[in-house]
Amino acid sequence: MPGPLDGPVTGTPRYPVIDTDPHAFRVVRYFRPRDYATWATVTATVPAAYYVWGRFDPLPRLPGRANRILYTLAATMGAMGGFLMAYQDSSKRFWGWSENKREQELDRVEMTRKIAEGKPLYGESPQPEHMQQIAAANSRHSQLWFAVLPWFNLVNHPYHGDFAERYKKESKDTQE
Amino acid sequence: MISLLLISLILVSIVPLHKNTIFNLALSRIVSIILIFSSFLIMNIYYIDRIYSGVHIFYGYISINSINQVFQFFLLLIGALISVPGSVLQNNKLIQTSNLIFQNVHPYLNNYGLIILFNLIGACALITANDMLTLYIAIETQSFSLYLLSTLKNDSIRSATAGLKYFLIGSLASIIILLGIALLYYASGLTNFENLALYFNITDFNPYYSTLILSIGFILIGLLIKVGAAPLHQWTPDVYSLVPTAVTTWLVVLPKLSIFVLLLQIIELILLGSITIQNLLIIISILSLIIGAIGGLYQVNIKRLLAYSSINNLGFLIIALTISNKVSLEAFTFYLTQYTFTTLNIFLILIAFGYLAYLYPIKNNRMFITQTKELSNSNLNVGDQTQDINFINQLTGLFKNNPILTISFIICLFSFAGVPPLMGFFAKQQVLLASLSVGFIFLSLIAINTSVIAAFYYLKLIQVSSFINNDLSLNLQKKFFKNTDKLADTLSKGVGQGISKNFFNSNSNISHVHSYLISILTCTILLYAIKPTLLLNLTSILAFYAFSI
Repeated sequence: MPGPLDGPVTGTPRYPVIDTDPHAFRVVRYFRPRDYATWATVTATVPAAYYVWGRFDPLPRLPGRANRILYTLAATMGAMGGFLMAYQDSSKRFWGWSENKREQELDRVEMTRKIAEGKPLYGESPQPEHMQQIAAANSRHSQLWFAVLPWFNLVNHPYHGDFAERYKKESKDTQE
Repeated sequence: MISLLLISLILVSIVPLHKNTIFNLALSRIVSIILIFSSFLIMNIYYIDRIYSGVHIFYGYISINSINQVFQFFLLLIGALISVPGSVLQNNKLIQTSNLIFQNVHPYLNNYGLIILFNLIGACALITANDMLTLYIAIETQSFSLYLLSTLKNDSIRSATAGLKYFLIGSLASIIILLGIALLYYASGLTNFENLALYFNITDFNPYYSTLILSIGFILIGLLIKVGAAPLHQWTPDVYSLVPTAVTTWLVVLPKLSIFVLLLQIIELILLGSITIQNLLIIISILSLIIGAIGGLYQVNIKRLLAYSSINNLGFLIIALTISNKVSLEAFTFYLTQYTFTTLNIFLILIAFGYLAYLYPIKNNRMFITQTKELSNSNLNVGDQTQDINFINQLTGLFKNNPILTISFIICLFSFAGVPPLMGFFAKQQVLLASLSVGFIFLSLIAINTSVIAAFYYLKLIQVSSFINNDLSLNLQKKFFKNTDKLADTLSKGVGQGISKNFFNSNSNISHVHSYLISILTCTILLYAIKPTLLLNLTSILAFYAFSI
C-alpha cells in the first residue's frame, strides 16, 4: 500500500485504467496466482486464529459437534473473506490503482479478439438499458465497501470507461 | 463481510447448541476475529491519494473518502476489542466460577454477536452516508440495535428500564431528525449532502432561509440527543448505569464515535447555514462542560460518574467541531481517538474488576440496601444486581488486591483529568490551542475550569481504589491464593461481611487477550508522549483531507 504522501494528491490512477467496473467473472478470471494464495491464506488463517486463541485462553470442553460447527463457520468466513480480499486486489489492478502490466496484456488480447470476432466488448445483457445503468451505478467501486457489504457487478453493461477504444482504433489501423 | 457474518450467525442460531454459554463465548471469538479481518479489508483498499475527495458508491447514497475509511477501520477494530471480554475464561477449572459470574449474562450472550453486527453495519453506513436518507436509515439501524442491546438481559428490571428509556428518548431524537430532513427537503428539494452544500453556497437570497436554518438545527439537535450532549443528556447516566458493563462499553464508545465522525464530515454543511448554528453549538459545548463536571461530583455509582465524564469530554469535542478550521479538526480527530482509547480501557478494566475482585457492595451502603430491597420486592435475583462493579465503594482495597490493574485504572483516570504527559493532556491542549487561536478565550477558560472540577471526581476514584483499604481484603488477600476453600468457609461463617463467597472461590484470572488488551491500551495512553508523531501525523493528514473535502 502506498504511503499517505506517496505520490501527488490528484486522484488520478498511477497505472493505466483497464476497466472501471469489471464484471465479477472477469475479475476472477484475471486473478493472479498471488490472489489465489491470498484466498488460501485467509481461509486457513481464520480457523487457525480461532485455534490459537483457544490454546492461548482455553475454553471448557465443547461437544464434538459444536467444535465442528465452529471450525466450519471459521473456515467458511475465512474463505469468503479471502475471496473478497483477492477480488479487491484484482479490482485494484483493473482500476489502475496498483501495478497491472499482466492485466493490460490480457485485456488487450481479449478485447482485440472480441473486436476481430465482431462481438460486443463487454458481453450482452438481457436487461433493458436503464437497468444496466442502475446496475453500473450500484456496482462501480463497491469493492471499497466490501468490509460491510459485498456487492459484485453481475450485469454485462457497457459502462466501463472508454479504455477499450484504443483497441478498436488499433484494429482499424491494422485493417487499413 | 460483516453482513455475511451476520447471515452466517443467523444460520448458526438455528442449531440447538446456540443456547450453550460456552458455544456462544466461542462464537464471540469468531466474531472478534472476523471484525479484525474486516478492518484489514478496509485497509487493503485504502489509497488516500485515489479516494481523497470521496468515491461515490450505490448511486451516491454512500461516499467513501479518506477520513471515513480510517474511521471505519477504527470502528471495526474497536468493535472487535469490545467483543473480547465476552470470552473470559481461563481453564476448565474455572468454568464453575465463570458460570456463576456469567449466569445472568448467559441470555444476552446468545444474541450479543448478532446485535453488535447489526450495530456495526448501521455505524459504518452512518459514517459513510452521503445522503439524508442514508443518514436516517443508518442511524435507525444503529439505534434499534442499541435498544435491543440495552434490553438483552431481559430478566433484569434494570435492563428493561434502561432499554425502554433509551428507546423512548432515541425515538424522540429520530423524530426530530426526520422532521429536520423533511423541512430541509421542503426548503431545498435536495437530500444529497454535496448538492445541499452547493445549494447553501450559491444561494444569496433564499425565501426559505429560516426554514433551512431550522431544519439544520433540528437535525443537529437530534444527533446531539443521540450522543447525549447536555442539556439533552438526562438519559445517558440512567441508561449507562442500568445495563451490564459489557453493554455500557459498547454504548459509550461506538455510537459516539460514529455520530461524531458523521458530524466531522458534514460540519461545513451544518455551519454554512448560519452563525446561529455555531452559537447553538457553543452553548451546547459550554453546558456539556459544566454539567459534565458538576454532575459527576455527587455520584456514588461509578458508571453514572463515567457517564458525566463522557458528557464533559463531549464538550471538548463539540468545541473543536464548532471552530472548524484545520487546527481544530486535527484536535477533534485526536481527541476522539484518545477518548475512545481511554474510555474503552476504563471499561475493560471495570469488567476485569468485576471478574477478579467480585466484591459485593459494602452492606452499610444505603444505595445498595435500597436497591437490594427493590430487587427482592420484584422477585429478582440479587446477583443480577451485583455481578458488575456498580458503586464507587466497591473499588475499595483494589490496589492491594491487584496493583497492576489498579495502576492501569489510575493512568486512565489521570489521562481523563488531563494530567501531563498522558494522552488526555495533549488532546485537551490541542483543543484549547485551537479555541484560543480563534479568540474563544471565555470558552477556553470554562473548559479549563470544568476540567479542574472534573479532576475532583477522578481523584476521588483514585483515592477510593488506592488509599481506602477494605480491611477484609487487606487481611485476607495474602492467603487468598493459598487456601481459597478454607478461606471461603471461614468467611461464610461471618467474617467476610460484604464480600461474596464466590470471590474467594474464584482464583480467576482474566483471559490473556483481555489483559494484553488492557496493557496495550494503557501503554498507548502512558507512552504516547515518547513517540507522538505517529498519531499526530495521522490526525494532521486526516484534518487536511477533512478540510479539503
